[in-house]
Amino acid sequence: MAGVVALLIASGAVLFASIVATARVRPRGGLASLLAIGLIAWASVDLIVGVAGLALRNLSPATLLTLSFAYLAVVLGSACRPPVRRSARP
Amino acid sequence: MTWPPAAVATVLVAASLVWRVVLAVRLPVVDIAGWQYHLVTVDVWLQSNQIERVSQNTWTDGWPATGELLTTWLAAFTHTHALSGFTGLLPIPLGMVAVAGLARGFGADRRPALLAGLLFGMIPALVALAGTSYVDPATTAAVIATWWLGLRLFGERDRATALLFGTAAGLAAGTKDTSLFLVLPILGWVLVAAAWEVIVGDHLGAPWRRLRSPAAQRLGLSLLSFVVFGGLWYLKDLLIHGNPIYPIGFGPFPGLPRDVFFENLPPRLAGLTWTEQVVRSWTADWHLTHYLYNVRPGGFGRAWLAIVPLALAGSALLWRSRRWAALWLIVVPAAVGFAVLPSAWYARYTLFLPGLALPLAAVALGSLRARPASLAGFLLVGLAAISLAAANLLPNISIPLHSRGVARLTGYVAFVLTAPDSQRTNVDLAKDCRTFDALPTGETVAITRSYSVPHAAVGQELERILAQPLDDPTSDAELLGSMRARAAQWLVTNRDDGTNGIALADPAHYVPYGRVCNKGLLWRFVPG
Repeated sequence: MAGVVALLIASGAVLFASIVATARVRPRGGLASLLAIGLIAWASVDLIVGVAGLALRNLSPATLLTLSFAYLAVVLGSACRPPVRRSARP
Repeated sequence: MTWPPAAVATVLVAASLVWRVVLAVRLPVVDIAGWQYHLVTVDVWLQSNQIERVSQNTWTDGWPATGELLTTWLAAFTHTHALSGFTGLLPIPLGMVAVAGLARGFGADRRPALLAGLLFGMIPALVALAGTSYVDPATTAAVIATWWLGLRLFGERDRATALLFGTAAGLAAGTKDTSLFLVLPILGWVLVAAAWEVIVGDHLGAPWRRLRSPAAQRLGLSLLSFVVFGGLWYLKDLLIHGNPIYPIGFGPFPGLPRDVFFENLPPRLAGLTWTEQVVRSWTADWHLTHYLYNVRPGGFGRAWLAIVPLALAGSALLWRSRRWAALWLIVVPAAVGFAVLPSAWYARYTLFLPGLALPLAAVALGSLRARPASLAGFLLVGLAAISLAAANLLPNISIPLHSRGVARLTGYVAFVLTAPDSQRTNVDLAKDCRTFDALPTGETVAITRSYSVPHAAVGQELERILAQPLDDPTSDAELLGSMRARAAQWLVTNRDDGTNGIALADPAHYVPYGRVCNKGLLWRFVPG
């Protein structure tokens, strides 16, 4: 049960970070925003597992949870900076 | 959402997704490909506590494993495969959004685009894969997302879209080799167009400033994210096997012949031509009352035969409105890929077809007047609902239900919701392979490469440790050395292995334990 709770917390952190990241890049339209959230969340999970498994060589729940919150912190930190400026349409 | 066909479809899809969550939580992951390689990769990674080469068999050693990264996430926290079935479920909503978006990208109106996305979530072959470790839903979602984002890049040349586009293409390629032919045309075009803009575009100042231009940034972000999320697996295969798409052999690149990958032809389709096989499969749904997770033939549902002509009409409308990028970079490559795919009849391998046909159908629906469009929408939802019910109300895996009719439906629901763990988790492959449950927790099992379901030896809770596979030992001394080197207490062979003769001739070290699932033989190893 503790494992499930940890999974939910870590996934929640990744999802929240993905929503913040999506809000920062501001895709045009609701569908584009939903797709961006999904893709960023999926890619983030892959990155976290990849960093834990390849660089840290540690796939323990504690490592994954820590990386999830580190990722969230990075995203929140970058969200405090001015948003990305869109390039003009051609 | 206020459009009645879409409103009805929303209710049905929402109910279906909730039920699939219940199923993914309550039923074990017992899909054959998972036990052969998807889950095996995760088993080895979690047991070694790192991501490493998994050489248990050709599939674990060759296929890209971005999908398995997601499964690893789902399994790592509990150190069990209790929730690994979400691998097939989580990408479905993403695929629905991508289908609706692609429809908008094709120029469809908002309402039919939304309906297209919802109908995608009602494809029974897709729904039946929810709760498995199969990567097909993930691949399909990523492919369709790539198409849509690629189209958007023609209009919105910003870095964020470029990054998401490369990520989606990478996730598609990283989950399944066969998605390459679907995403490479649009990926190649986007990259070449950006590179061309970098080379010939107007840039003030020194030439190196070109590398900091918006086009160069888009090129770099797309390429980098594609490589990170998918391309690295192909690089790994190139370095290890000398073939970027190993185990598929082609030209001078070593691997297995193409036919090996498509040996799953159901008897009903044997001896038929390519066209006959496709037609038979596309019409099979009218006779199906339930859907196995790897349903074949059939799987696109009863609405499919209505969607196809609408999609053709939508293609004609794209042609008329001169949407060449959509036609030449998405529709034509998908059609060519479908035409050359040996298992074009297999719904699981061709889920990109409804993913493309539904947005095209949305374009056609949008060209109709309000009333005919609503009627057509209701017709599609009604037909899809029948197949969706069949996919959800009866098991997608082998569960012994001894009743018929409505009692069978209620029996299934009762089994899922109320059966004790010992019954609920003892179905299908888990039941067939329960001989392994007698093995002590924590002991090490070595298998020969020809044993087809290595995950059975590990167990759903990763109870036993999977050793490096044996390389077809030819003598007793070699087998003894291999077993001792792996500190294994158990040996699993295929019934046809030459290793059995070696083990039989040395009863002091190998004690027969009996037959196990999928033509396996289990031996107790006495190091001596």
